[in-house]
Amino acid sequence: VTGRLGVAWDAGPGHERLLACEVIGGGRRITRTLDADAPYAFDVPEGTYVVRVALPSGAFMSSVAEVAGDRETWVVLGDSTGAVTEVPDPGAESFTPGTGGADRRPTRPLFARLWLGDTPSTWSDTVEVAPDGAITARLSTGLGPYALQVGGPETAWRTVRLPPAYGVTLTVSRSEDTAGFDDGVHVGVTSASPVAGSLLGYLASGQLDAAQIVAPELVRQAEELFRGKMANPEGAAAAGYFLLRAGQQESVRNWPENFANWFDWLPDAAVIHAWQLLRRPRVPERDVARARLLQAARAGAPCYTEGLRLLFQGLQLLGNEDPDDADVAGALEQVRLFAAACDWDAVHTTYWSARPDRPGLQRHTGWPTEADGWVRLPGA
Amino acid sequence: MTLVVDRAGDGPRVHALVIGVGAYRHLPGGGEPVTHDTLGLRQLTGPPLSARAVADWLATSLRHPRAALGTIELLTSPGAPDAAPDGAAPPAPSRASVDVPTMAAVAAAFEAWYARCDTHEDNVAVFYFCGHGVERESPFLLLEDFARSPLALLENALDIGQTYQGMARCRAREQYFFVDACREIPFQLLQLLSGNARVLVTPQAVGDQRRDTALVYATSGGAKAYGRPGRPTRFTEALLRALDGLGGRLDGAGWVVDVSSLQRAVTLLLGSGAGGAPVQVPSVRGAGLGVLHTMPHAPLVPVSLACRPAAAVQAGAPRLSPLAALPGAVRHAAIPSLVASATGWSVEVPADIYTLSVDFPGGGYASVQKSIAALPPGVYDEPVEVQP
Repeated sequence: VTGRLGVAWDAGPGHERLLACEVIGGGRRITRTLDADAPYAFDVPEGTYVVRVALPSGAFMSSVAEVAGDRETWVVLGDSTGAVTEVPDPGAESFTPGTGGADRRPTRPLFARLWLGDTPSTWSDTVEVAPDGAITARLSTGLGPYALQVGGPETAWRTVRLPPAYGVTLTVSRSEDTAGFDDGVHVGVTSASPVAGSLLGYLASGQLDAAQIVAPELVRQAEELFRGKMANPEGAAAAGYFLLRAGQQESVRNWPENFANWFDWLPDAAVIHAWQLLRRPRVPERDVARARLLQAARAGAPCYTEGLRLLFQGLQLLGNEDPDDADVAGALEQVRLFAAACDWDAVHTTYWSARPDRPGLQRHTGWPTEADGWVRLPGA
Repeated sequence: MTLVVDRAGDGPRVHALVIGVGAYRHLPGGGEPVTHDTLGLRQLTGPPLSARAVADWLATSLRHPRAALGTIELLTSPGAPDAAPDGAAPPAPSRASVDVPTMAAVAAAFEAWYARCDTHEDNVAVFYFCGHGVERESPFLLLEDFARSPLALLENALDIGQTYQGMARCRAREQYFFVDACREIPFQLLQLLSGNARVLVTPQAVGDQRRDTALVYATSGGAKAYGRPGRPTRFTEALLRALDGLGGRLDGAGWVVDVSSLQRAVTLLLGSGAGGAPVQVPSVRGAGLGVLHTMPHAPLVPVSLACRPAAAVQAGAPRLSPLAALPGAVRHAAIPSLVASATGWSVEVPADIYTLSVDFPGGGYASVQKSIAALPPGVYDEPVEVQP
């Protein structure tokens, strides 16, 4: 006897809108993407089923449903639906600890400043305080090398490279981590693309199995980008990093090359193309890979930590092979500064710095000396 | 070199290098002169026990889907001999006398391990380290003779980031690295980390043909990994529980442990540490969806139920009935009884979907039924609402 099982995702604040989902029961296991905007239903033999989604934090959220014959039964997963979260969610976008808690209002005075390249950009966006005390702002960025700087008199200044997207959402909240990178304040950036956000979250937390479920849609979108149908370099970067992690970088043939050509200001594009070439047996296009890595280093820190890691490793690789290569050695010294000062577990490249182009291990605190171009955040 | 397991044979093999550093000669209490800032680092008791526990698990429990166990090389401090009596069976890894993990010994063991791994492209390389670590631009692992020279503090430290990259040269296409070490040093001390840590296999641009790789850290960047005196570390204990089944996932009709499911389980287990244990969040790098371990049967899954109100616990008679709803499931005849606590009930059961029935033979509350999905990494504090 066959019934019908419907699955919906009630994405509340702090959750991605698109997640990897599995349905287990009746002797079967089905995996697919679950989109908050697109519930779905399918026929199953009557019986008991467990439906669960993998959150980018590493948690599962699950619910059990009894499906009776000739009837439709819906499972709605979400914070407010009674679904069980099997793992405490330690962080909003990665495994970074200490961002939870009822009151997320920062306890320290803070400022924020937007940069475009090496120049402070105008801050014109409204800053709000969410009901839980977290500070949020929707930043009107465009396609370009944008970076966000957050710091204060008691909080070390840090830079967060922003994704290549039209608008991102910033969240600043209290962190219990006062001795580590957070220095008492968690800075999160929410991706504009739901698929890219989920995919990058899964990659950052090592959930390649979940990434593999949501990735095909993004890879398809990325391929369309290079057929001129849409402009989503953020999605293309996420897809590129997924393909490298999954060892499927050759499945998209020459789009990494096009990506690096079309978005030459985006270090991530050059890094992805370089590593597609560096993975090939005996690396027949080593010179092109080298040129791409140098192109990336000239463009600044990649937007994504995965890109910074690959850029650093790629330059180390080439530097080991040819210690006399002055260009590679120079780029490596520059990138090493970012590597030493960065938070390796963040999704978006985040590092200590007095300015976005000056990463360093020195703890830089205080208010900016410039009269304008920055905003004091509400809170303490 | 100390091969505590050496099983010759044709075909692909799993080759493991397991290192546990607890006695640091040039840290306070280490018996050698301390001529430098010690960065707040101290002697450790947990890492040798952790390393031996990992070696034991590999020797007795590992079931890789394609490769039989070949060798386990073990180096631990303090290296106290614990030899088996004459004529006795070969000692288990946990009892073998092994070399101490100085830089020279580790480098020699690494070269031999690399050579063994390099003999077959379907070999599986397993590297495990437990001990002190610090992180600058890369995670550095501190060996027993760390800080011998105050002029080059990192002389006897290992750059695991670059070494992992360099392993792309090795023919073994499946490689797993587990690093149970801190990645945290206060900023003001980072500048004392003079010199460069050693890379045991230099990365080369030869094309990375590895199919499945993982570099699993016990903690996130810039954070601590926690140990407990006289016991294996929290991460290693969680790692072994995950490998034993809590990191399992369905693969067709069988159960396997892969890197993703292992990561989720270890994260859960470290996040639910008893007694207010500090947060420790593992992180993983790598590529592919490598399956490390296959399980011969459905894993045992902990189920804890929170009875509301808690006053009803003692009056209740709970029972779990399996539905055999999972792919390849068999109906388990004997399900252990749930054990009552002050707030609910708990039990370990084979993975399945169950019907929970709670009757109250003495009255006072109405019987309840609900479905419980007992899947790895476990069910924790699932509420059971009881009505008078």
